[in-house]
Amino acid sequence: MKSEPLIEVVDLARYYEMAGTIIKALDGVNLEFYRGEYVSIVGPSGSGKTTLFNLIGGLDRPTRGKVYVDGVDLAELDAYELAWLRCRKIGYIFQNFNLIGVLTALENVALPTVFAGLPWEEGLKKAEELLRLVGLGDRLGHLPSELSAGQQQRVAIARAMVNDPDIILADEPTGNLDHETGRRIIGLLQRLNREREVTIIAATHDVEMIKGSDRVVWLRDGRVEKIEVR
Amino acid sequence: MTGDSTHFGLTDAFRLGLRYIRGRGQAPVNIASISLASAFYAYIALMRIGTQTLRTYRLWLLFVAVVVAAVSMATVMLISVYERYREIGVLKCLGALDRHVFLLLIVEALIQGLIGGGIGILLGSISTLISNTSISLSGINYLALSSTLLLSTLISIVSSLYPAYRAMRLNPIEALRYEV
Repeated sequence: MKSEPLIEVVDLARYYEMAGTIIKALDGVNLEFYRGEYVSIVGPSGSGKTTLFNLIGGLDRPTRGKVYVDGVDLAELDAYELAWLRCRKIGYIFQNFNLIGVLTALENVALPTVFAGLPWEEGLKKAEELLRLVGLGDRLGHLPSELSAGQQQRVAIARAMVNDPDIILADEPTGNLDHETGRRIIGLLQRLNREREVTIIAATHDVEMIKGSDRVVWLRDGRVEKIEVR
Repeated sequence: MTGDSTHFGLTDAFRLGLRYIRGRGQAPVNIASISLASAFYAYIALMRIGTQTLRTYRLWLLFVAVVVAAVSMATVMLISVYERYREIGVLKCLGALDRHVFLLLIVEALIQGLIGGGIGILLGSISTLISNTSISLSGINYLALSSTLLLSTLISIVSSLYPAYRAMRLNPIEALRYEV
């Protein structure tokens, strides 16, 4: 393991108030993620996985504690810098794919390059390259509704990769897929992790999906239950 | 980090806005209501003015037409924002700023206003030429006609301000949880 962590989470807590009671979605989590790692985060639903991702991605502000990405304290960043972080440093993969319905596979993948300031034609070229990499070179002009669930998740993976992020946050990437398709998606993520040296943090509640992880973090009730090094 | 932020210019807004207008069912409803209101406006603008009473009467009708078009457009745009809740959340996740989301929706309104105004001009001039034999094609007041486009884009943009504001202020975490 290299010395400097890419992401450092220190005593991180996020409480919500719901109908008068305080819900501790995260309650004092300490974690470090290193460059090039593949880390699985396992826990039942409600254990705080999504909250952790929202905080690492700067979509949410913590009640207590700190998140450092590349040594920078996210609390010090304004809305513009956080948008830049989400665009250039972090790629997102969701359980329900979250592709833009009116855009083709190619345009979906190219969209983040627009926010990154790349000319559209260049973005399309990069998108095509990535769609070929994930095995969808023959589906460039298809709308999400014309693709299978597994293919949609591949498009989402290509979209997450297109701005060459350091980190990919995958929140239950196989949750809406059948077992075999899910295994293939995880295989693809692990291949990208090795070949492109992108740090992948994948949340799952399915213990079968943690094979091949460098580390497994077990979350329960907003706390780290154990960390397993493989 | 560089202190740099993300980009989303007018061209990008037009590109994405056109995809949304083409790909979704609401745009024809907006365009239809705007074209009817602006056809009516064009028709009145082209009329040779009759008596004062008739003129006031027509102005009132015009006012009602504009209000109806604006309310209908605002409603349809709001529905369109609600239906796109999750996708707007995704845009913010990918790096869109609040003002980028706002720009996208205003540009969509602008495009629909221009298309609606164009159709309205066509409908208005045709009905003028048919119903009023004293006006010929060369006798049409083109200045009055082009003011129709101004009206149609104005209706469209003004009635989309609130929906676009709602979209802009949307919290991405809630939006991503949102089930349609």
